[in-house]
Formats: sequence, structure tokens, C-alpha cells
Amino acid sequence: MNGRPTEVLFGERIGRLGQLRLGCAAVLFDNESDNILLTRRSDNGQWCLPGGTFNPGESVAEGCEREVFEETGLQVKVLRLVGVYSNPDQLVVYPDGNKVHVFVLCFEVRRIGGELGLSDETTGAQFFPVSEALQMDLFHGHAEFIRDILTGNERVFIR
Amino acid sequence: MTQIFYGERLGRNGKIRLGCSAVIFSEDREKVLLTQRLDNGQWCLPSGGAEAGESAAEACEREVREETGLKVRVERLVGVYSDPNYLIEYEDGNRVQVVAINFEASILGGEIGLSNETTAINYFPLHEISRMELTLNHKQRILDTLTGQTEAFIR
Repeated sequence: MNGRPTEVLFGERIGRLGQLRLGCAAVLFDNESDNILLTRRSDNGQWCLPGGTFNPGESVAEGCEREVFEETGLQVKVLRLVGVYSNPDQLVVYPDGNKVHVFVLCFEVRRIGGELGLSDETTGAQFFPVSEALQMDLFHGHAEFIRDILTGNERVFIR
Repeated sequence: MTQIFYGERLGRNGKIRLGCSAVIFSEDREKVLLTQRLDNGQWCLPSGGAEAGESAAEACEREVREETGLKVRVERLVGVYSDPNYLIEYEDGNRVQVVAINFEASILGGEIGLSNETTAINYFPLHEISRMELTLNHKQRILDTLTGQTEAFIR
């Protein structure tokens, strides 16, 4: 972290000031679906869903599964697409000055193995009661992903 | 000419590019709208890259408008297509692995007309499409749309 935290700016069509970047976020509930996995970002200290960007040479499901493993140590499988989130009225500005309009594919995943642990990118990784997670100051947009999945709607959200 | 290569994990030689495509049915739902690409002569769904400053739905609606003249509205997301074994090389040398979001869209207005990216536009009956060679995995995208499945295909 070099001083400036990752910021999210808002404004009409502000996304056009950045590069388009495709990312993913993963929703993992524990067995009883009472708790949800969150990680704490090292760049700005906020809690968020695990996720990241895709590498060339992998499918989106593989990319999401890799990111969750790298950030939390848990092996997961993608279950379904919850939604695509592409609000053009927001711009993410990273500590290195890069500006991006992020398109996020949010997936629900299930655990198939591994042990919960920390990585370079995360300073925390733990399950929180869903109601508590929704009251936390989550990284921008992530509360919306969680609220959408809680609707139980099978139809994919297009946002 | 745009070239498409297929081989194990070839996508790793490119950059990820986000695209979108639209499946637009005729009124009787027996035909699907296809466009013929200027760059390689293949038939395909109306499709193209998304741009910063627009939403995924807006990108799809804009591409359809630019390529066909039709004003459409995205109705549902059919699937995400990200086969890492495809590598697309454009005339300018850029190489990409496409991650495409395929939508079903309905027509709101406009008139079908050619653009500078397309050399022909036509509705094709499904039985004819099954015998045609469409670009990339566009035939799969149409088949997935026809299932009517609510959950998205993740490919």
C-alpha cells in the first residue's frame, strides 16, 4: 500500500474515464447458509467478497475458483452466475493511479476442500453472519451482490 | 483478415476482451437474426466489444444498433462464454481471448440496414442455422438460448 487507498468515484458516465476491466466476485455460504465468506483487502482495509480479475488462458469459472483459492486457501467450484454488474456511473481508482470501469461477474460457489488462511492480498478471511455482513462497510457494490443472491432469484441480474 | 485459432489454452497468448452478443428471434420465434462479417465473411450473431462508460446491456444494444440498424432491448442473460482455447488475431495484430456475455434481445424499433461492419443481414430458420458454420461458438449460444433455461450457462 503506497499511501493512497483504492477509491471509488461516482458521477454520470464517469466509467468512460477508465479502462474497461472484467472481474469476478464469489459468494460462498457455509453449510447452513447462515454465514458468508468475506476477505479484507490489503489495499484499503475494507471487507469484501473474494474475487479478482481473470487471466488469459482460463475460463471465467476457472478464474473465479483460482482467485478464491489464492485469497482464502479454500478450493471452490462455481455453482451459478448471480449477475453481471457494470454500472457506468462509477470509476475505481487504484493506489497506482490506474482508473478502471469494472464489470463484475458475481458467482455463487461451493466449497470442495482447502483450509481457510490468509494471502498477500488479504489481511483477513472469515465467515460472517449474513445479517452482520450487510451492516458492514463493505467494498463498494458488494452489499448489492449479497442482497441480490439473497432474493433467491434464479434469473441472472443485469446491472 | 481476422483469424481465429483453436488449441489448448491458446487464449493465454492474448489479452482478455469483454464482448457481448444478441440472439434476436423473428416474431414467430422460428428464425434468428444473423449478420455476415466484413472481416472474414462468416455469419454470426450481432456482437462486439464493450466499452468503458457503458453497461453490459447498453453495449449489447449499441452493437446491435450499429450492425443492424435495429433498436433492441436486452431481455435476459443467457450465458457467459470464455473458452480459453480460442485466440482471435485481428488485422492490426492484436490478439485476444474473448469473454462474451450472450443476451436474448427483443426489437423495439428501427429498420434493418447494413453497416460498415456487416455485408449482409438476414433471419435464418433454425434448421438452416444447424447446418451453417457460424463464427466462434455462436451456434452454441443460439442453442443455449433455445433451451429457455433460467440459470445462465457458464462456458
